[in-house]
Amino acid sequence: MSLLETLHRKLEKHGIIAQCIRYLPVISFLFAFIGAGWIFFLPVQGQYRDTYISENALMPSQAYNFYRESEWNFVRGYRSEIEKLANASHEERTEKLAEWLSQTGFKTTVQEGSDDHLSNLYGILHAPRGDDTEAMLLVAPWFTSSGEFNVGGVSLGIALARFLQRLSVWAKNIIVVFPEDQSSLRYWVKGYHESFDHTGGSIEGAIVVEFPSSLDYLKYVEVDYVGVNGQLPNLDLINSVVMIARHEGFDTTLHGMPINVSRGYIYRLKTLWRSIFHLATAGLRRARQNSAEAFSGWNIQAITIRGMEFCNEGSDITSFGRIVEATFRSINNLLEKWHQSFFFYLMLSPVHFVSIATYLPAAVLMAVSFFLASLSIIFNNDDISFKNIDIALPKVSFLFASVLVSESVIGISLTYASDCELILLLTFITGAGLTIILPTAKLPQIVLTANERSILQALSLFVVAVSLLMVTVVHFSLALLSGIAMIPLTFVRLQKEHAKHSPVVNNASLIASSPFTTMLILGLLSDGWTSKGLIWSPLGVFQGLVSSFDALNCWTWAFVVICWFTTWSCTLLAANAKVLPTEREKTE
Amino acid sequence: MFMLPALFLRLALFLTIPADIESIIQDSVLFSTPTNSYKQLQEEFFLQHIRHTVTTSPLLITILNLINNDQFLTNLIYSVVDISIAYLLVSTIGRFTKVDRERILKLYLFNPLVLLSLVSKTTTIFNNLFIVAALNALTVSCYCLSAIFIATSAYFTYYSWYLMVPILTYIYKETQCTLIVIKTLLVFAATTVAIMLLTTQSKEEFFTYYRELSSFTTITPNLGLWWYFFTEIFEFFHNFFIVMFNLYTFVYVIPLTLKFQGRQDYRKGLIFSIWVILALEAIFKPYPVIADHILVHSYVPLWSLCFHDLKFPLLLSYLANMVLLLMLPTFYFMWINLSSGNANFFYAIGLVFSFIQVAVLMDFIWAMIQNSHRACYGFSRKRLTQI
Repeated sequence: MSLLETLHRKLEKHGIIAQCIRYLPVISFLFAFIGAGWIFFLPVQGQYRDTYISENALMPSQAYNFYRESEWNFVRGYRSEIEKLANASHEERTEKLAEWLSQTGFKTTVQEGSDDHLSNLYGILHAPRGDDTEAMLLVAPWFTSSGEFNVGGVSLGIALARFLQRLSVWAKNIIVVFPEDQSSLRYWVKGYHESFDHTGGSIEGAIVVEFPSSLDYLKYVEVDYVGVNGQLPNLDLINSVVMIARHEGFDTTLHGMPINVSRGYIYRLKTLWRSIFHLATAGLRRARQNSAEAFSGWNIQAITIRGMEFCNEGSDITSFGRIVEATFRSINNLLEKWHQSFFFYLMLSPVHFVSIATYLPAAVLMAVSFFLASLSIIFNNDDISFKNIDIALPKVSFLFASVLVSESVIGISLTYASDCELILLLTFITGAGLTIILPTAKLPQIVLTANERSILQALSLFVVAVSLLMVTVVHFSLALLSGIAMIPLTFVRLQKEHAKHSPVVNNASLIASSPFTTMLILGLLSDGWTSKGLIWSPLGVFQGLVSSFDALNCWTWAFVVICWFTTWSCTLLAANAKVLPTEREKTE
Repeated sequence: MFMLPALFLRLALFLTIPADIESIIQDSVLFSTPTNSYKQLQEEFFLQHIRHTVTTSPLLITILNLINNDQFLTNLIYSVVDISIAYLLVSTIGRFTKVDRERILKLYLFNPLVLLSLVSKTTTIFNNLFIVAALNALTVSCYCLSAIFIATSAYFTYYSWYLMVPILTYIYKETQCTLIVIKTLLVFAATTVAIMLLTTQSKEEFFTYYRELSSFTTITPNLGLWWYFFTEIFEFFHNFFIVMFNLYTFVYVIPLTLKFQGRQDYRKGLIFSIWVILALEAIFKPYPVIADHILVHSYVPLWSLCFHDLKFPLLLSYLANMVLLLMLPTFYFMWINLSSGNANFFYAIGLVFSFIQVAVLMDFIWAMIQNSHRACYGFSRKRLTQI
């Protein structure tokens, strides 16, 4: 405390505080710049850490695995039958598989389908040594996240079910599910927690197997772990799977990174950016849904393992199956819970990670940058003194609240129309059009005093800062990326002191910081949003945002509406409202 | 003149608020704790004939019995209490400073945080009423009434009896008569005994509540600083913590009274020390809620003479408070609902919240000391750095 006191006195003596206030806009930008630059600093050696198993009970790869080549024949046999079913209807496939599954000794049930979802087949093996309260989940979807027929995965799933049932080590129930695709899986998980009569206790871990090939061999394994709303599986699960895969002779990658490259700084940086990007847009890619997303919100540690580069030599499908067996053996060892402090991390490679304390400053600096920009408007302004803030506040808050309410109403009603492409298309075109037209238009209907205008702008920036700060801890990647996209909002200068400031800059900043601009850029820069082609991609982003709100309970749309659209519109209002002359100007 | 619209607003709020939102607020860690939540009160009301372990003040159960737990009457009582607090606040503040009364009224009556705290229906609001009433009675020289109010407040929260120290000093300074001081003290004691005899059947029942309060038997996370020590640190030390924390809440009472009674304008000085003690209680008591902090911050306009001596502008402190009040439920949600965070996250942010409160309080104390110094030694433009 006394140190702070001394510092404060020193600062005051040299007039540094006043200087700082004058240069607040520059400092604000500097903070944002450092925040974004922080990410480039993380892959430097010394900033990240090697992964390790935090929960000692897991003991991955410590036990001998029994799923050997002798089981290969079963996989082949099932596969040749399933290949015949490739063109059969969902009911036929489910029926056939249900027959096999009940023969292996699993309690087999079919979840009834609904209007939107197909039925799901699942079977439960009640553990011989457990108290029937916890379960592990093996998922083999009929179609993989990229839409291929998961022939190897389903054959392996049923063959593994047959094999696992013979082991006597299980202390947790084993559940096998064969959903049609990712949205059916979500429907199953929801049903499991809400309506099923036949369940196997709380699900401690889930593995989704994807092997879309009839070939027997594969080169490497890709691990997918991203959940919606910034939810990640416990890092121990990823570490166990990666470690087991290495013991079985597989190399692993994350986020679609290539395998045979040197894993230096650039590789780590690329993986990091991809993981941030995938986390921030989790749930929005309707054409390429990640299976792990289906489990978000129920405290289930879920991971997808995907066989890559199928070929005719090397490690075979039973080794791939051993990853599942060994991971189940690890989860089976778990006595209490997954380790509590292992939920916040960013991956740089399968064996390197950064933990929350190291990466959090990036998004916090971003939020602080908006906070400083907001303060700069209040302090560097002749129109505002502290005395009349609360005079302007009622009108400004009313304006802000009405914008917030009306946009939330539009946002919520859009979620109900998320199936109707025409409405979404029209909304998107209107919205994008308004984004370009409105910043240059004048709004004479809205009359504000110069004081109110500045406070409205400051309030918008403050709301951005606070929402970013709140989202940062829950969903770091979203806060960081949306923060970067909203930086141009701080370049809008409306006060008299900035009369020389070109209006073109204001307009360009407003257009650049609009959510529609970001959707456009997102749609054109990356794929997976829609199956229709590049032109439709931006609409795909919009549709993903709107539909994921209901389908996956994904909050990204709510965040975009409440934090982004509202503050953007309020800044727009402040920029384009008709401003009454102040008393001083009148007398002049 | 804002009273009637504010009353209607409150009643309308109670009527229109959706039940699930009301339930979220009532369960929220910011607004309620096991010792003062409305749900606890209801539970005890319904179980009063079966069980005799009472953790909420028995007086309220008696009141609830009187009105037969009628929903509308309860809402009316809560609304009226809240508005009386605003009225008493403004009349106390108006007696000391020339500030715009309407602005203070508006700030309290239409403050979203106050409304949220009201919706949570915690029993802390009654404690606030009695403290505000006691201070008001003190400033109009109704000493006995003031003692009665403090006794009632102490009956609700226990910690309020600390205020008797500055209040008795105030009375002595005002009257210079020991007899009146002793009389007030006797009134205080008599009220305590009277309430105790009137509302409880047995001595045990009466003391259960205070034992629970001061020994932190219901260990739940809250805004305060106690709970982490009882959940995360060895049970072996629990008795030590109980003694230390209770001592800590009391340890500032006498020094603060001594320091500020020496001010020329001793009335303001002693009211200031009462305010500081209230603020310290709100930070360091075992089960603090937002309502406690609301009471403290409602009195801030009283110290408008200190404003220009503050190191941090008030705007900044309140913005910081706002950010923290939004972060607290986020961290709690991450810990309890998403179970990706943990207790350390929530305690850390609670610690920052308390730190900000302490920093603001220290700022005010230093500004007040500067002010007293100037009153003694004349005004100088130079900013004081030490005395």
